Amino acid sequence: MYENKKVRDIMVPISEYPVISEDTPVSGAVRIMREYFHQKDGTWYGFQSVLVVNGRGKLVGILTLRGFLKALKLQAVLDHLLKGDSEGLIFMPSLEILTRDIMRPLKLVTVQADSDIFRAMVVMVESSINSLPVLAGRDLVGVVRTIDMFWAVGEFLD
Amino acid sequence: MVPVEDYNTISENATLYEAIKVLRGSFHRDGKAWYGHRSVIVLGKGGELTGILSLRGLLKAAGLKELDSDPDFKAEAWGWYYVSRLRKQSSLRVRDVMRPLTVATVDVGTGVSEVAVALLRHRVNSLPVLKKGNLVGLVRTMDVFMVMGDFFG
Repeated sequence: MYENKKVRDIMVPISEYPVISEDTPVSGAVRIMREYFHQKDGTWYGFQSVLVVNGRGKLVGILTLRGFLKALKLQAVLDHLLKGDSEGLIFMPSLEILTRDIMRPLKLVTVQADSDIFRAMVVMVESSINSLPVLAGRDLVGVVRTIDMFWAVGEFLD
Repeated sequence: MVPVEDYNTISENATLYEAIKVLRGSFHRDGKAWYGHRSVIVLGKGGELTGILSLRGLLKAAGLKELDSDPDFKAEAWGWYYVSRLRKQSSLRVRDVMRPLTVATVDVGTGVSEVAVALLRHRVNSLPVLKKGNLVGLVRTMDVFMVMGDFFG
């Protein structure tokens, strides 16, 4: 009667999750994310986020679709700054926005794999996020999403 | 944007239990990849559009009262109890937990960057689109993403 489902029972294991480097420029990240989108009736087929690694292969963040909203906002700020600079007084060595600038760092919010799934739900609601990195101790082992949570609750109602 | 006609709808008087069933029915999976709209358009008594019900909004409703009132809130303890209660009770309706259309909107002529800023500011993934004050569609984070190619590379 009382189903003690744990996060690890419903999460997407890290081995199944797409990964990109934090140095990937936004244009590259867009291309990679698009590989997961197949347009049909305007709905998305596939993963809506990717995990991000640093130069040493360590997982450092998660890039979601909202990260791209941030990229647009950053680009608008940059364009605005440069528009008024006709004499080229503002020197910016690199104008390229990279994945690390728009991702959500892993350390911000996570949940433990052996937590009850409702604990994950509370974290997702309180942090206003739809993809939550899952740790076993300090190691990243997967990602749990609103949709996984929703499906588990629905199964229980059947 | 996605035209309103393309969305699943539900009555604002429907119970949360019914809402979960409707939404679940519109999803399909392929391994761990899901497809289907992540939200439902809510209709009022006269069939007019009154709100949006999102996945997270539905889940949040499960803890709405408890989250607000109990600082030592134990998700694990009430979680399944609440879900089984959902089956029988009919007190919580869609209208109690949906996001009313009046909260935030964009105009059909709004530029993409502005839409991005609005989605970020309101912490939502979809916004109703108005044309001369009438609702014509929904614009989502996903739709903004799809035109990103025009801005980057």
